[in-house]
Amino acid sequence: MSKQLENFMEQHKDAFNDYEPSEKLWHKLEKEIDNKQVVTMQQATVKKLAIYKWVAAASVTLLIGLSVLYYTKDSSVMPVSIVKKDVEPTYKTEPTIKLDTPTIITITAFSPAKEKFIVKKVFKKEPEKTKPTVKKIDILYDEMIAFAQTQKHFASLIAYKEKEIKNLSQADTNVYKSFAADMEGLNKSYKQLSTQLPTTSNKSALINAMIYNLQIQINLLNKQLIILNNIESSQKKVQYENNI
Amino acid sequence: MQLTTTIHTDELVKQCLQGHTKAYSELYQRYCKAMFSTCYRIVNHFAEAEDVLQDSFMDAFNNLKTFSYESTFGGWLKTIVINKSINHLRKKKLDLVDIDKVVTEHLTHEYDINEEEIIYKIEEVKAAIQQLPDGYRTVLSLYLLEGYDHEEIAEIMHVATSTTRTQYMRAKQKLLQILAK
Repeated sequence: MSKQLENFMEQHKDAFNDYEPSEKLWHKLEKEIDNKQVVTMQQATVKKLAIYKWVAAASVTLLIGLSVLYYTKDSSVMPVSIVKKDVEPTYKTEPTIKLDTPTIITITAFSPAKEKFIVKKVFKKEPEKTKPTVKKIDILYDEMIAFAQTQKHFASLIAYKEKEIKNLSQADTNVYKSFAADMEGLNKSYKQLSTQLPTTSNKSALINAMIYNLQIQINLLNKQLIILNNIESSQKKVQYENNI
Repeated sequence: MQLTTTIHTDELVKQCLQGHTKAYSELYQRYCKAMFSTCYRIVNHFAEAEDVLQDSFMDAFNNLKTFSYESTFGGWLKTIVINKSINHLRKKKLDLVDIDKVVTEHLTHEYDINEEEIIYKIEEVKAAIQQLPDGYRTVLSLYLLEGYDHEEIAEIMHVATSTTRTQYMRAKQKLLQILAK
């Protein structure tokens, strides 16, 4: 059979596709689409409202809870002196982590295998400056909780490091002594700071100073560990060479 | 050029999904003519074809999420339109396979039409296609104008490939008959 018809249709395809629906068809469709969208939007707003309700309820509960905690625990906020710069301890080793005052550092984990701290830095702008409308009390309370956690981290880390150093430094008492003196100095100034804590009005500045102190301690311990490790490995090397 | 329009269509689909009403309109304007032609050829009734087209677009818009961008939007939409059109014919109780029984008898003795003698004119062919019985018209349009092969047509119409082949041959014969008059 000849392919004439097929060829003709192939050539004039476009001419066969010129049927057009009437204008009103789009208007019908448009209405249908609008109805559909209105329905979905209504559903969405209902959902949103439900979420808002829960958020509102949760925040009210939180606010009440926090204020109760605050007034029962920390009822004595006394006025007072700003932390002086010279209260900050002197230290021989430059800290590797430099801190701006508004920074709060949380150590989230410590991996003994890698001998590294996994440090999470949380930058916080000075609350008084950025949020003057928020009540100071709330900020302080939040900060106190954060500080308590930070302090706990540091304490356990320091204890761990100290133990390690004591183990390593048994052979070399001279090195240990000079280091221990530095460490003691830092401890002293930390205690001094912590005695001021209940009485000062500028709590966040004091807390920052304390954290700063703890960090220097950690840095010192780290450096000491590196030194001791170096000594040990060089001793081993000497021993090894002697054996040969 | 082809590429840019394709990207643009996919973009329109995305906009529809984000709830832009204008994108729906744009998609409709872009495809309504081609889709209506496809639909009208199968349904063969203007108002009914409009209903089927509206239904098809609504179906496509509601299921835009399932459109995977693997095929073109036009191809995807066309499949919906063709399926809806054929279903519409089925609902009208016009069984597509039954038709060839009716027509076979008076076809045989007019089998030898000389195709060379026919001068094809677009409007005449169009009119002739409209005169074809539903089954023939559907197979012929799908094969000649929508670019479907016999396997695809057989799948859409739920018949054997051999059936669509013979139906196409008979549809063509019938069309030539009408044109030769």
